Amino acid sequence: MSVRSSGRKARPAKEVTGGRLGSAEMAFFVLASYTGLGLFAFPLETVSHAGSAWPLAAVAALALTFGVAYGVAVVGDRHPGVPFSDLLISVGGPYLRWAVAIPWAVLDLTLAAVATAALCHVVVSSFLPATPFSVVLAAFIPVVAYTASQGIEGMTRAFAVVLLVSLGFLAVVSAFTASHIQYPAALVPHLTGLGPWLSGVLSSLYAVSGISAVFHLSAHARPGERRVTRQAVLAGVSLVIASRLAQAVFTVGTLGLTAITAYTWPSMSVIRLVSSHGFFFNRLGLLAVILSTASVWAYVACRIFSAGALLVPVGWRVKGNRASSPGFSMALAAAVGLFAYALEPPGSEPMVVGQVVNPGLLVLGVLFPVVWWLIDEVRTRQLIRPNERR
Amino acid sequence: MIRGLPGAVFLALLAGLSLAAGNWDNRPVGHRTFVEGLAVDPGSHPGQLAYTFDLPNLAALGGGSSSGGGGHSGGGGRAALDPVIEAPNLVQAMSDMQRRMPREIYFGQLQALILAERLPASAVEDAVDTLMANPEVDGTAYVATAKDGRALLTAPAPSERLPSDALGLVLSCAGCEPLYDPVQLWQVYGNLRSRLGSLVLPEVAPGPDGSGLAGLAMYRGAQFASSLEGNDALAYGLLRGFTRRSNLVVPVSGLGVATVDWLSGHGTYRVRAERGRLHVDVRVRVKGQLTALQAAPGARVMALALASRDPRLLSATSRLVLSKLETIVRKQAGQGVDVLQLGAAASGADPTAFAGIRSWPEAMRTAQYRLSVNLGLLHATPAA
Repeated sequence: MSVRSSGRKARPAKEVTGGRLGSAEMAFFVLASYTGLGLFAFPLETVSHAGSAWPLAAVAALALTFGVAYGVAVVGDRHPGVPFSDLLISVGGPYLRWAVAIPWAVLDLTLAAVATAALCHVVVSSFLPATPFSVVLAAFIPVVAYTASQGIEGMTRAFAVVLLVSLGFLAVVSAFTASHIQYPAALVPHLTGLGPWLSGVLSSLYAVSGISAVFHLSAHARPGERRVTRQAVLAGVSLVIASRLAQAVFTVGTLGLTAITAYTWPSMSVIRLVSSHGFFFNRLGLLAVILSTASVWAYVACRIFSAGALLVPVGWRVKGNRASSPGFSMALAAAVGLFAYALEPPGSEPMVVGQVVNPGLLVLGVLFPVVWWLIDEVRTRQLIRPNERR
Repeated sequence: MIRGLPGAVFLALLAGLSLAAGNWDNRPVGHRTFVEGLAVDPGSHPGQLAYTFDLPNLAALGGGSSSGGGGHSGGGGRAALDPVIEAPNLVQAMSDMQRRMPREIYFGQLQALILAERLPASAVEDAVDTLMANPEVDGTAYVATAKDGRALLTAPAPSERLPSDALGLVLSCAGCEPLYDPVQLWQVYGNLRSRLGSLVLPEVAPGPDGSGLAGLAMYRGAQFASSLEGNDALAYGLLRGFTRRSNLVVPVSGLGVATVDWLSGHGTYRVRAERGRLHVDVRVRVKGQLTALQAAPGARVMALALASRDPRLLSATSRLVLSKLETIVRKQAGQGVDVLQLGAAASGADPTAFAGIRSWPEAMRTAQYRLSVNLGLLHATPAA
């Protein structure tokens, strides 16, 4: 079955294949899509579930993420220029499309709400204790709505500038925390049982939750370039995994296995300890934490973009290459804002992560992509589709 | 991308909200009082504690009056205010303090937390936990022990305008003190959280030229047990690897009196638990530099290069270090102090390895220690 004959009115061929992203831009989008959630707390949940087996659990979750993202990228590279929802329709008709799109959009919005609530909690509890949660939230939501309404190319351009500065600075400052490591024994893995290890893997999934952006990348690939999504995933996801590992090692090595559970945002607390004499102001860590909030902005904008691209009605994708209209992005951002507002009571946001986000990511972010990749492998071998093989 | 009236309304909303956020907390600096140091002492009644807050007196500092008397000069008043609040815990002391002050009390600049020796463990834990729970405090304040916290915090510091500035300098100068392991609030917090923790804090005492390091305070959990001074503290520093420039004077029979400078060391431990009892194997590698050798009457004068390899001198020096170490370890372990900070090392180690140990202080008391010292000496050569 061909993608173009999917029962809709035919569009000019130019629009279907007209992306303008190369692998470097895509890699920034991938980085933005993965970094925001888990930046403040990881590996707190992993340690509290897996105990001293946490390094094995964290490595397994990170490796799983990489494999899944790479599989999705392989599928995407086979169908450059084709939107993900069209691919879903071509595989299983409109029913499959909605059966995947609606749960994934809900998960995307949940992830966005959780990341937003985490950011607002950090800002309120650590920096602006007298400012109401809702005010911080109300200042944040229009910004992400505006960003998400720019479409993937506008977003990518903004991310390339902002994330390079903020995450680069964060990386440099985190390197200073290596001197604080005082519990090296806590970094040595001890597998005490399969149960704690598995629950540690499951509870780490939220920290690498950006897979939904990878679904949409190949639709925006620059025409004529091959394997561009794979290259982007190789670069972007590897960078994310390396930084998550470093974050985990510095955090657990500094605080130890027992004390880490007393902190709400252990990795942020560890970075805040960095201070330096001789720089023009000495609270380097504080600046890094403030700058790193930019990655939450990018993360939430990516989630809204992804949910929009999944939910957009079939005939809508007409002007340019934007997956959704600005109004649609704003409506989704407003939904995220309301959801995040509901997460204001302290402790509700880790609860949603544990009970909704991690199981949801296991099903939609790990199992579904594996099945998706398998179906595409089988179809590629069975069907001859000259108009799609590029 | 965004056009028309909805777009204009949206952008106006965006700008308005961005401007509205963030201005709820910020107060002008002049409306705040910065707590630079905090000392906790036993109070005048049982159950009460005396909290001394060290605050710079903005009125006196702003006037530019040079405080010759070291923090207590006349003119614009004293450079520092040191109100004492008696309260059962730090939270109440903070709110009592705030009630007395016209300005907002701000803990984000806290430099030093001084804990008196005679404090109960609960008071130490309360002070550390309360400070760490305060969002203004980021955990980088230094923690030290003193015989009398208030006396230390208010002692005149001739070289600085504020006593706690001097204290902050002493406590943050890890490289310049011969024997010092800086301890910050977050480390104490983590140590007390871990089931096996035991504190070792620097002990600070006031002196005629400002406050200085007097030794090391050893804690059993959060309870002060005893302090190490002089060569005991030096030997302990060699064991834990934080001496930087210390020296020892060693009488060597048949040779004379040797001075060994630039001592540094590092201990490695092997711990195993057998039937609920710990066996601890400690090896300490010590390096130093032989800087002088005063020949004994009648003894041959020996070149430093030769003497630094002389077995009599090497064995006398390592025996001196070893005997100090053995005394410390046995004495401290007898009090149930986790002298080698084994608890911290074991926290996160293989959970099955120490499963048989019920009480860590008890394990400290019954542990078998084997200590050895491996010494290497260089000899002094002219620098130019």
